[in-house]
Amino acid sequence: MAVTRTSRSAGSSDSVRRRARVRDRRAGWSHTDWSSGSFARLVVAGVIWLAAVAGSLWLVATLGLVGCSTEPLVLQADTPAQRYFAAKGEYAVLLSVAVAYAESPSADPAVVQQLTLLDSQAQSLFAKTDRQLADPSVDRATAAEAAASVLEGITAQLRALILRTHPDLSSTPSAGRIAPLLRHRFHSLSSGCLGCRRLSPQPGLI
Amino acid sequence: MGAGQILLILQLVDAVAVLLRSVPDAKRQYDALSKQIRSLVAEGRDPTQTEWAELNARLAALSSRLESAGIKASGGRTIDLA
Repeated sequence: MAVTRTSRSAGSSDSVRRRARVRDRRAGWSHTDWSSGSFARLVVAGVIWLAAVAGSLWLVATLGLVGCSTEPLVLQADTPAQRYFAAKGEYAVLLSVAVAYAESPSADPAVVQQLTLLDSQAQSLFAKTDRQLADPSVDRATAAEAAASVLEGITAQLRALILRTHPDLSSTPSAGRIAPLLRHRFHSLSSGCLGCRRLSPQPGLI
Repeated sequence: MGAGQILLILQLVDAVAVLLRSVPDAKRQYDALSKQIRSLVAEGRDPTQTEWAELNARLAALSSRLESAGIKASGGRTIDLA
């Protein structure tokens, strides 16, 4: 009797589930088939997504720290020459991050072009300042002080541009395009949702 | 999972990974520079010619690499600075 009750109960619950599936399908929903590897895909997509978000938070925090610490390098310095040296060194630190990004296969050519233009401005400043510092008729302290100040501005722009290379946390147009796309991919991977066709991004968005 | 989806995820992961790999090195460089500046201040002197030469050489090398990457990214075209 117990066996009969169990199978009747199971059959009844199966038919309830079947009816629910039919109802949901009519309503435009779909059910995940957990047994066919969808769960594994969901976990993988989730882990990748979480890693990307955690990574970007860490990146922003660290890059924010570099050059934005409570005691900036230029303020630590005592003399104009030290200040110019500090500003130039800080620029070199951020430039190394920019170069790593520019040399990566996933670099956005438009961002690389902006990085290159910014570096051209810095190189022009270096050349001009070096000429002034070698000229005995020029006040070296004033020249170094002015160069340090201009270089700080260029470094701030470089830092902002590097942060723009990461899509999730910045508010640039490219971030606005990529974050919904990632969410869509995550959703469609996990559910195979029929409604995702409507949400599919335009081709060539990235 | 389709090839397009795999490619997209790999591109996103790659973009994050490149920056995550380079940032710890940048932090180390920044800390070393901070230490150097503190040392200059403590000693009450300006950077020596050797210190300037090292920094300038590092900047020149990075700038050259960035320029190469820029030319590569723009498909071999040079950038008009005008």
